[in-house]
Amino acid sequence: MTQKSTINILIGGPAGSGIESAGMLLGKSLMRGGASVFACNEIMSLIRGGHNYNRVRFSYTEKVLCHDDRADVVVALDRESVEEHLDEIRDGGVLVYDQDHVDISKLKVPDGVRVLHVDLDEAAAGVGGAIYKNTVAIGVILGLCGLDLGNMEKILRDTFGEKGAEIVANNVNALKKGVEVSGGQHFEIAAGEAAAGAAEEMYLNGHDAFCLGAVKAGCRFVGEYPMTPSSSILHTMAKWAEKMGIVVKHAEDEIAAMNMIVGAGFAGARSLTGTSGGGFALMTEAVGMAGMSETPCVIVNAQRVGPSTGLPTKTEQGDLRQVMHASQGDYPRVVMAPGDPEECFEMGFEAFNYADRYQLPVLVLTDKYLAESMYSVPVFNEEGMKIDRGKILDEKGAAAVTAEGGEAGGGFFRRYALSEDGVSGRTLPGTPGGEHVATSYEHDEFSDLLEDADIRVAQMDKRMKKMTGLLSELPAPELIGEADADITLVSWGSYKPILEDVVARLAAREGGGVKANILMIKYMVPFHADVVGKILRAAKKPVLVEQNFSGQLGGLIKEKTGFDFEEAGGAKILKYDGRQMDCEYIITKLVS
Amino acid sequence: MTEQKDLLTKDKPNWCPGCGDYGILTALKNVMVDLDLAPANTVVATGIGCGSKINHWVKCYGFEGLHGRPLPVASAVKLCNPDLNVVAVGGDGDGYGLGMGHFIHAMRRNLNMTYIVQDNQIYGLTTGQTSPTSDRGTVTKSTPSGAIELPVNPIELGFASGATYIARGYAGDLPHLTKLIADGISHKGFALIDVFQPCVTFNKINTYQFFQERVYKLEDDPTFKVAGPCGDKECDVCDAIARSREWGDKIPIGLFYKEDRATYESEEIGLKDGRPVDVPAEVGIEELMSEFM
Repeated sequence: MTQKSTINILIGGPAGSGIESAGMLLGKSLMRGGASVFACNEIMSLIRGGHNYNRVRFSYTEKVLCHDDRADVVVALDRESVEEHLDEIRDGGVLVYDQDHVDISKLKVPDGVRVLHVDLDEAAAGVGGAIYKNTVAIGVILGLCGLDLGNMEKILRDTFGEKGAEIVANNVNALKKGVEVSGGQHFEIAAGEAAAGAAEEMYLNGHDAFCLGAVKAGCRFVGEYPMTPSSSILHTMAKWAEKMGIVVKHAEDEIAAMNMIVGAGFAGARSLTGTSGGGFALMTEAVGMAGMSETPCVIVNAQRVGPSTGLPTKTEQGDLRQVMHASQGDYPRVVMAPGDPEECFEMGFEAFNYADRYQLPVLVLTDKYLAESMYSVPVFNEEGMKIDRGKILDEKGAAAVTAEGGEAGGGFFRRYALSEDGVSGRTLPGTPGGEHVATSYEHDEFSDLLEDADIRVAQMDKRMKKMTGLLSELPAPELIGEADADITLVSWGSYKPILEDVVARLAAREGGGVKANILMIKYMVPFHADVVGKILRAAKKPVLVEQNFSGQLGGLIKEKTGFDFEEAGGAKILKYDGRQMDCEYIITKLVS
Repeated sequence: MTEQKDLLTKDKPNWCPGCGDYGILTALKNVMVDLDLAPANTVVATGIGCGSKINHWVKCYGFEGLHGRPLPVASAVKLCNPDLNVVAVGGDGDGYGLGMGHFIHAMRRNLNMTYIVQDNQIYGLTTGQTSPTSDRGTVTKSTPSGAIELPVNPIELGFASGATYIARGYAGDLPHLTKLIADGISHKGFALIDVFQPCVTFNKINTYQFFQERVYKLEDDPTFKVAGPCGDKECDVCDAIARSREWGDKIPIGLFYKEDRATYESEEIGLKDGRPVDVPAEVGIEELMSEFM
């Protein structure tokens, strides 16, 4: 038997063959069994056909943070999956394949890899038909890993219970059949502490976590148009619409979606849209309108490979500059990028508070990797999370900022009254005495459209003052890990857990560990230039890690701090092939 | 009770003297008094164009958004607070050019709101270019040899797209326009009111005189019946559509179609237990988190 503490499984097959849901069920059952789990999905932009695969990585003794491009088990449902992934199998691993699909004698199997032929069709036929093929495959995996079937059986019951007892029984039989044809336990997996804490774990993706944060924040209006990889926000919020009283509008296009969430914010709801770069391009004009009209709203750009239609189902971090500079003119905004589910939840919640308190658009960058990868995480702590709506005035409050007298008798609300912090009190429609026009034009305190130079300057300065307050309030970046390190990894977004894994692996490296720490930039606008500059200038070897061509964060750092990675003797690790770097890739780049 | 004095604003309109927009503004204010619409509970969402400044000159809540986009803003306001009276106002370029997609989708949605289109068949604010409702052959700065496209027919689009109140008004007939708008706002569903609104500066063809000589009221014609949904009764839609195409010596104004159909908000599942504008002090998510366990 092969001894392992972490096992990485890859299930590959054509689109439409259900491997994503097979991976989902497997991952959840492992989590319930007390494992730390990470799973990700690589799909092609097709409904059927093409080559898709799902990775599930788990351990009972270590925290599994991210994916691994090598595999211990490859379950290939088609020929392409064998050919694509055979070389990725580690010494001591197993290739599970179906003889009908491929002539294995013509392929070079790496040394130490066991080849296990399983006739999935025949096995499935024996328990009720071809649709049980994936359940048989899960059974094979559990058999090879010597894992108890109880958690998986319960999940099959939960998942298929509504479809009737026969379907459940067939699935359970398929699972057992899989164990049977696996030929017995192959891996001896290090056992962890008793799975006592398992009940307090969740298995979810970054967008699930973000949606939990949004609902927690009282978001009750979503206007969105489907676009990979952002649609999961639309789907999740729509699923919760009735239970949580959320109006979810699948709009006619992204322009409508964005204008809708501004309208919703004006009306007084906490509003959200999600999209990807192409859709965000269409939203751009209305994002600026939210800035000018000082209307709170939250926008998620789930990045995929650009430009244009790009690689729709692959990951990238190429939209930072697009979001930072979206729309004409200068206006205050927040640009933030959570890195893992916990941050998606917490920053997702806070996004709505910042939007309300500073009356501006808050832009959240996620990416395909974070949006769709599954992470096992402890249940989120809701303590201390307070909804703060900022300066919303009632009738009495409105009267205090209302001009008296004048030809028309007075009673005009100063929606855009100048203030110390740049934030004016606002009234919501329905509040007597607070009537005003929120406008996309430059305006005076009363929203009147005046083109006087001094009014323009006063209002512009007022709006931009918000950035000062925000900067002092947003948490400044901090080094993760020991301050005294040989390498400082600098990145943003979904690389957080991957770099944490890199740091751990570098420290544990055979032949002498390497000390590394991490600087994650969570807020790009406004930017903590002083703190970032200071940290980087003190770093021994700063290394920028980004999933894009030009090093967009590196460019921002240079613009704001003058710090240049190459001039400082550092390095840049950039990748833009649509596939997230794994630890191994980064470590190889670092130590080569 | 809402009175005219409650609708006064700090400044006065700056439209060209004689602009058809004055008639529309006056009609809207009259309707707010007649129907006793409280300024605080009324939202007028507009786009960009001369007429879109209308919400600066009637006291109520207003959102002056982007060119072509008043309908998405207005739709969301209504969805987040269905207790408000929501009126979207914009020009023909705004609504039938840039905003055409929103126009059609808003009609099929049937939110309980009113859309008034200031239709002057020309671009005024950008100093005189062809519009989606300009006649074929219209000579403008952008079509010096004459427009070679057919104009859109918004009334007919209303039929095709599921509007439940379809009317055409004329800014030169204030009592008639006031009633059309009042009935549109009272109607439970999406009311489209396309209004002939002469641009005295840039449209030298479709002038007050042009309309004065041609318009007739549908309700004055005993052979015309306001159309409704084609059910088991005799279908009036064909005649109403034919009337909407009349353009020449005689041009009809008035109500073409009216239907009682469930509003979008009455069927919206997210509105069953309250309004999105009522943000709670705290939201518990334990139950939602259990879905992932």
